[in-house]
Amino acid sequence: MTKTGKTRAEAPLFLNRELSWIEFNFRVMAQAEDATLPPLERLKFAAITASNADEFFMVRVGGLKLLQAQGEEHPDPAGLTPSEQLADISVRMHELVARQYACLRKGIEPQLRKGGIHRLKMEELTAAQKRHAEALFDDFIFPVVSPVAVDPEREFPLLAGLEIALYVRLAGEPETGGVRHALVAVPRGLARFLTVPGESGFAYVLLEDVIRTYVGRLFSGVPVLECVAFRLTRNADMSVREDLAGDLLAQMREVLVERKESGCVRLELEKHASREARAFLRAALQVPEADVYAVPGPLDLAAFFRLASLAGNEALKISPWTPQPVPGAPAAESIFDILKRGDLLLHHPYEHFDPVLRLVQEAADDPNTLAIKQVLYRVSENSPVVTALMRAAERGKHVTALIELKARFDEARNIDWADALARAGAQVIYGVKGYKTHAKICVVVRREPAGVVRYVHFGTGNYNEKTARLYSDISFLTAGEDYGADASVFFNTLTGYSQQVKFRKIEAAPLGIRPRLLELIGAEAERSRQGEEAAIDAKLNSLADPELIEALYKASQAGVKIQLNVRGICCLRPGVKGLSENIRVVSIVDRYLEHARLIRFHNGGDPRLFISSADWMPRNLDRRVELMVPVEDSACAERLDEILKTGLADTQQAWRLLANGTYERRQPDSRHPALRSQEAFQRRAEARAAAAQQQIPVLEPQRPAEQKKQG
Amino acid sequence: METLKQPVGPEPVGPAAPPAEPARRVVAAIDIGSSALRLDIGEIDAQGRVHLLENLRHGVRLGKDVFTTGRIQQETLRRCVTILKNYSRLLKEYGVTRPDQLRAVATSFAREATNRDMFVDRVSTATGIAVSVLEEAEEARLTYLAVQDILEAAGLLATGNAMIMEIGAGQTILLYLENGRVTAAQSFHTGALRTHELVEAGGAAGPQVKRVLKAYANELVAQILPARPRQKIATLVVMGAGARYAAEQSEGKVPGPAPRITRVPAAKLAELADRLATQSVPSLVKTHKMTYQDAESLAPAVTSIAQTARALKVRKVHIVQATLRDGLLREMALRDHRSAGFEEQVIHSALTMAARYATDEAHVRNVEAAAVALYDELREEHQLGGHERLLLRCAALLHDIGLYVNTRAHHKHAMYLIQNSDLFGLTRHDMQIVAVVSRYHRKALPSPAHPEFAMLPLEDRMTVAKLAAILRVADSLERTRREAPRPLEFRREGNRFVILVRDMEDLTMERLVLREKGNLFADVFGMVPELRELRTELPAGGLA
Repeated sequence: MTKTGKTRAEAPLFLNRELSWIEFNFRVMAQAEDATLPPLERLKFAAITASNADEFFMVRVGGLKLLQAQGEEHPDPAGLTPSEQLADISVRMHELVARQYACLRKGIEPQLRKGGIHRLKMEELTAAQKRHAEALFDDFIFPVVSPVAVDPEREFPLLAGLEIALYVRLAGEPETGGVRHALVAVPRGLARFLTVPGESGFAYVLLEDVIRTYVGRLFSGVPVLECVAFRLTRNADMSVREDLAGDLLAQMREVLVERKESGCVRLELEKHASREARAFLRAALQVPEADVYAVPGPLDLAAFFRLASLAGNEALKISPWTPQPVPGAPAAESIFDILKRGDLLLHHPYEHFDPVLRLVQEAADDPNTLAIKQVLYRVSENSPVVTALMRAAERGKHVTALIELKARFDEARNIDWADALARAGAQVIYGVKGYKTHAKICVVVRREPAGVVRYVHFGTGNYNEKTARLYSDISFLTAGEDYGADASVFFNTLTGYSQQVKFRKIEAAPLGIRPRLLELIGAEAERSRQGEEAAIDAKLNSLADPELIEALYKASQAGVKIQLNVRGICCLRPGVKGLSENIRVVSIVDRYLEHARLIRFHNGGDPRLFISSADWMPRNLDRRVELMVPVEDSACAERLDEILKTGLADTQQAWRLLANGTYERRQPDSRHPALRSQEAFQRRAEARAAAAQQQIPVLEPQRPAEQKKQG
Repeated sequence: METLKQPVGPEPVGPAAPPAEPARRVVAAIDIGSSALRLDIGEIDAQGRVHLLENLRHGVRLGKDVFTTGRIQQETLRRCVTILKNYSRLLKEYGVTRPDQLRAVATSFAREATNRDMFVDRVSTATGIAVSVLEEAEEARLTYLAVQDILEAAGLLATGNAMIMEIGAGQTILLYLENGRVTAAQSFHTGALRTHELVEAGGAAGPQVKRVLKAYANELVAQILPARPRQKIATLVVMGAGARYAAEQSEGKVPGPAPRITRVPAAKLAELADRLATQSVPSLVKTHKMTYQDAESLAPAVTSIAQTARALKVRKVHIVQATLRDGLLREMALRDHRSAGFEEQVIHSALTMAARYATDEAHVRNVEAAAVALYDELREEHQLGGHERLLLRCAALLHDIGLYVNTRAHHKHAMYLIQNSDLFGLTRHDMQIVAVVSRYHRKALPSPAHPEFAMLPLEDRMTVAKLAAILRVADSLERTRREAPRPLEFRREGNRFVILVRDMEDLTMERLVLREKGNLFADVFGMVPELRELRTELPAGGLA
């Protein structure tokens, strides 16, 4: 590190990745706090921040705690030791949690009540509602809850992470004068939001509130002094030790069991808990005060995502944007014929995911299909992609599915799919040893009169129709020969059929993407040094890789104009004189989760555009199998360029990253007109679909002349 | 193929086959090589061009095993079986299931491995892939097939002398070309990996390595120089993994398919060789993400190329991106699109060899033409195919080379000369047949008392007898020196096979020779050959 300027010496070169991630959640929180949005939309964003926090504690905080426990105190690239990071995280997370509950109770819930959705406290229930709740408890809840007595001397019972439980303090045995403690796990199989009959609208009570009200019935006569709902979060960072055992599947099942038992990294409990209750739980779970989050309730805001998505209540939701049909891919035409005409670039969810599904479905039913190969990372339940793959396998096509069992928290579902596909006769591969397969690719090999043709789909998102409606992603479909050959090489490598041979067009991590990016960034810098115009635009979810960030710093210093649209974590410090003054970073948080990774190198006026599954993080570039795919078809490349530019020009849902690591909301001004990029994408998709609609020729039947005269 | 009984047309369609048989045929080639197993799957289009679909490789230590211990180790064998099982799964995906769609060969390591038969058997049984061990001459022929069209397209074959050098792990193949035709082929037991093992065993280290590598390269050059044609070699074409690496280093790594031909200055190669000799194998593995075996072979290979270029005084070396698999696939493509060009190549190299022994070219050409005419006429009787026809032509061209040694027993001299030569495009087995046929072009008839005949399998003995019978008759027809072959006509009259020779006044001398030489023909074909002059008579009634 050389000190080239004053400003540069003041702060470390990198921003801390954990704090940057929390910053992102504050931006999502701002959506929940936006009073101009309908309440269920706001609730959705609040739930997302909670769900993000859950994963963050399990994985990142859990990881840092392990480091701390092992005495690892090396500073990260931002100069913070694990202990320092944990301390900062605790402060920022407490602030975020305070904002979540203030927003829920003072902002969202009053708005929801106005709209007819009532969360009722037990004491607010009418007599009839109360009778209903009691009947629910007696008939459905009582049979499945079982209280467990606990005391400090005995081992604390096993509680699953992220599940709500009730702590019950009971009056002590009369003869000893002591206090008894008990736990009641809130059963998982029951609905959290229990509907109670009401005159108008939708009224519900929370399951834990009902249990709490009748909890005394579980302790036959012993007086209940206190009943507090709490929730613990366990360390999930149980890295799978692939080098130790042969059967990965068995290991993953073990991980699922282990996760229930690992250390507690966060304790959330209701604010009204007494000092005794809090002390008891802290001691039993061995949680330091900094990791205790006392909330006004209710716990587990992530669950409210389900409530936000309930059918009906349209007035309380945003008016949906309908995914538009793709003009270049008419439903009546075979996807193979469409792709033979030319490459197809789709921008989801503004445009339908349908052509991608059709590729797999048509291939499954087509007698000329030789093989289908696909990587499945996070697959939705009832996935039509998997259904089509099974059908294809049953019909004797060669189906190869790489199912990534290491997809965090989706292991259980993925194991089910893996079994089902294998039974159907597909060749199922459970990932690649030592690497998580994150690439999104599907190739259909088809025998045609003119020879074997390979149809390839490259994506930035998973083959999951559910997330395809929430995430904005790019699909690139092509029948290009070089892409097809590369897809084969890629699968031959994944399946262990071959060591990696040279690709014609694409690049794959862990071997190729990092060097290629460094080379491309370096080439832009060199052009700039030689006096050419040079620019790099990129849209990513996360930018945390020190080597690439340093390359970008160098390029900035060489005069390359760098515009980054980084939705989440960004460890690059932009706009620092002598370091990064040519780098601008924005982040867009809007209706859809920004998910596409796109890169553009100016390349002396002959731009090179890429889509990628990889974020610029060490884990993606070094420990995952990822793809980076050039888009060369001129129409597709132009669209990509336009998508990049539109995102960077957003002035309504965009935030600008400042040199100090905080974000500032962008405002339209005279030079930057008002633009909401996601809305613009939707309108453009609609306009294109409408234009295509008008072009469909109206078929006019020709009748014989005589008939016409007579008629 | 000429033995086809039915007219050539689309392949018969079985009941389960899809309605329209695609115009392209999928074929595959597996190369079980000294340092890697490789699979190419390609399509052959209607014009006989090959389009590559898949390209797989897996490093194995077959060469290491054999060049150090003489045997293929169990562990290596097991690994090969695993890899080949995966290959066969992928082959099924492409519908490559018939034997005529797949060719699997093993190269130099297998020729030398003491347990090669066990290896071939185990692999074939475990994977269902029939592996054959390539002979050196066949490998040379396939090498030529692999590069032929690339060189033609680049205009390198048109004029002058060229040398093609393929540096493999365990051997080096050389082909000499004159105006685009192969004049000779040779192979040497010097290969990149083998050299590395020798250097390793010799314990050379540091700056010594460069010297030792150069010494080994010069040893190879010393073997090459005396065999090369007298005219200067204008074009040096190089193939092999080391050469491809050198091309990549010289071009800079560009994404996309590598250019099929790269011109690299000899000086640059010498520099690269020096640099590689001092670079450690682990550092090469790390920077280029290559396997250890590949990395170990680089310095010896590039040094050999550089030293050869120096010795031949060529300023530029043409590096061609082509592999044995390209040759195998091309050969399968040519199966349906018979290459007259290839047959001419073989004939050309036979003529070159004949010339080396000062043969009377006009005579042997005439014998060849007569033999071919007889062979084609007697197709029903001999039931042999196009390949045997080619062997007969070679025997006809070479039958007199023994005269170079001595006129006495020159047929025997011819035999051993042929037995100990390489004829481009022919296998060792082919050469054996050509040699024995030549041996029987005069004097004694084939007999179990002759060891060279007795050691042949029954089938080959029959072939030899038939070809020799024809060659003897053809030779007896050519007693007088003439510019052009005689036009012949044939007629079967009972147990007489009548050869009608047009426009000859007197065939007495030929008849005398035929009486002596035609005995084998009568034995083999059951017909006595008879010569008859076919004179052009004035039509009755004069010319008016």
